[in-house]
This record gives sequence, structure tokens and C-alpha cells, in this order.
Amino acid sequence: MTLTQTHASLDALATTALREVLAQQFRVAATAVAPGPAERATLGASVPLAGATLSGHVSVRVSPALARILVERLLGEACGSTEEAQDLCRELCNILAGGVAAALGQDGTLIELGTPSLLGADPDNGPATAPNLIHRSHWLCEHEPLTFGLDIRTTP
Amino acid sequence: MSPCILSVDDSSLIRLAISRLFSGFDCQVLQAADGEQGLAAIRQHKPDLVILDYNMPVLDGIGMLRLLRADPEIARTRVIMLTANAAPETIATVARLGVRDYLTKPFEDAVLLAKATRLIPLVPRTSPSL
Repeated sequence: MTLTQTHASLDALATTALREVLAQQFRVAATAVAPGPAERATLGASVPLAGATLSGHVSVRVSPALARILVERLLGEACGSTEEAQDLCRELCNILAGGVAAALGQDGTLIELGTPSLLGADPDNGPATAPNLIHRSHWLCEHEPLTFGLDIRTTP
Repeated sequence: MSPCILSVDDSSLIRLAISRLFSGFDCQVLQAADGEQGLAAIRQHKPDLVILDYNMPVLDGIGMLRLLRADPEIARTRVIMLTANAAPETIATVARLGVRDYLTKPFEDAVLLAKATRLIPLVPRTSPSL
């Protein structure tokens, strides 16, 4: 990631990554919305990013209903358990983090992905970082809420 | 004898998706949730193809590959990486470790099938699987 990265370019990068992952892996479209329905997005996951000039997290929250829909799109059958929904949330975040890391690393910077972990149900209880670049966006997929977040700390 | 495929991924959904993908072919699909389980399964079952994730707990894909290539009994096992990690450095590292192909998530079923078919004979099942 270059140090000239701005919030606007981070927003564009995040939006592209989210749309591509949802379309290619799960065959769903996402519509950007104002914050609001996110209180139903109670399933969350986070993946750490680490590179020579940046660190941070990618996070995603979805409603349990959207998790079930995405499992069905991935497997071709209905989601059977809470564990499957949680696994979906971790894997969605992992794939999103891969897309974000690839985009941030286009200048040749190696950005390592950490292992995905589940977040608590509290929407404000996200990863603890001291980011200087933040992206938050709210989406509707199949009429269900999804919140996408990037918290990036760049270092000179 | 039908080929054996081992899916090594910490996501049970991805493992299940891969099992479903290959269920229409005359082959056996085994699963392992991390590199350590993956190595144990390779030593026990000698799969014809391993579909390997990168970021996993316990032992990650790179760690598993290094141990795999260091063991003469299983060193020649064919591996396709299927991972969210698209960093060129990572791709170069796994290529040096003899990975035959590399596919990044999100992935298309048809592309994974095509890559697998180049490495192992996949014959469509003639009767429904039980």
C-alpha cells in the first residue's frame, strides 16, 4: 500500500473487492445502503493484515439469514447449523481479505493474511486497532444486511 | 482404481463444496482441517491430488508443503493450492515447493475441475452416488 492511499481510494478498493467476491463466489449482488439495518448483522468475523508498511483488519458482519443464503449458494443446499453459518462468515471474511490484500499490495508490498476469527455480537466490538485509514460500508444482499470494514494503520 | 483427492482447508464449507464438486466423478474425496491432519491423511491414504489452503491454524499450507516435500515417501504428491492469498511472493514460494497449480478464492467450480482434470483422470459417474 502506498502512503498516498486515501480514504476515497480505500472505499473504492473495498467496494470492488466486496462486489467481486459476492458475485463470483456466491452469485449474489449487493446494494449499498445507509447505516441502519446493520443491527441484524450479528454474525461477524475478522482477518488480520500485516505488511512492512501497514497493519490492520478486514471485518465483515452479516445477518444469520444472509449467512444461510450464502451457504446455500456455495453448497447448493440449505444451511444446517449455526456452525455452518459461523464458518461461512469466517470464510467470507477470509476471501474478502485476500482481495483487499491483493489490491493493497499492487505496488509489490507483501501483505500477509492472518487466520479468520469470529467477532462478538456487539457491532461496536470490532478489532482493536489504531487505524489512520478506515472504511465502513453497509449493504443489502438478498434483502439482508452486510457490513464491511477495513481498519488500516500505515507506517512510514 | 478411482483417484483419491484430499481437500485440506480449515473451512468445513469449502471442504464440503469441494466434495460436492467432485461427487459427480468416479473418485474418492477425503478431508482434513489443517496441515497437520493433511500430512497424516497423505501418509495414510497416499492421495493422487491434494487441494490445499494456505492460511490454516496448527500448520499452514506452506508448512505442510515443506514437510511433505521433505518426506521421500510422499514428496511427489501432486498439489493444487486453493487460497484467498494471491500475493505473488506466496505464489512463487509454493511454486518452488512443487505446487502444480494455484487458484485464488473466489474460485469457479469449472476452473478447479479443469485444473484437477489436467493432473488426474476424472471419469463421470455412470450411476448415482450412494
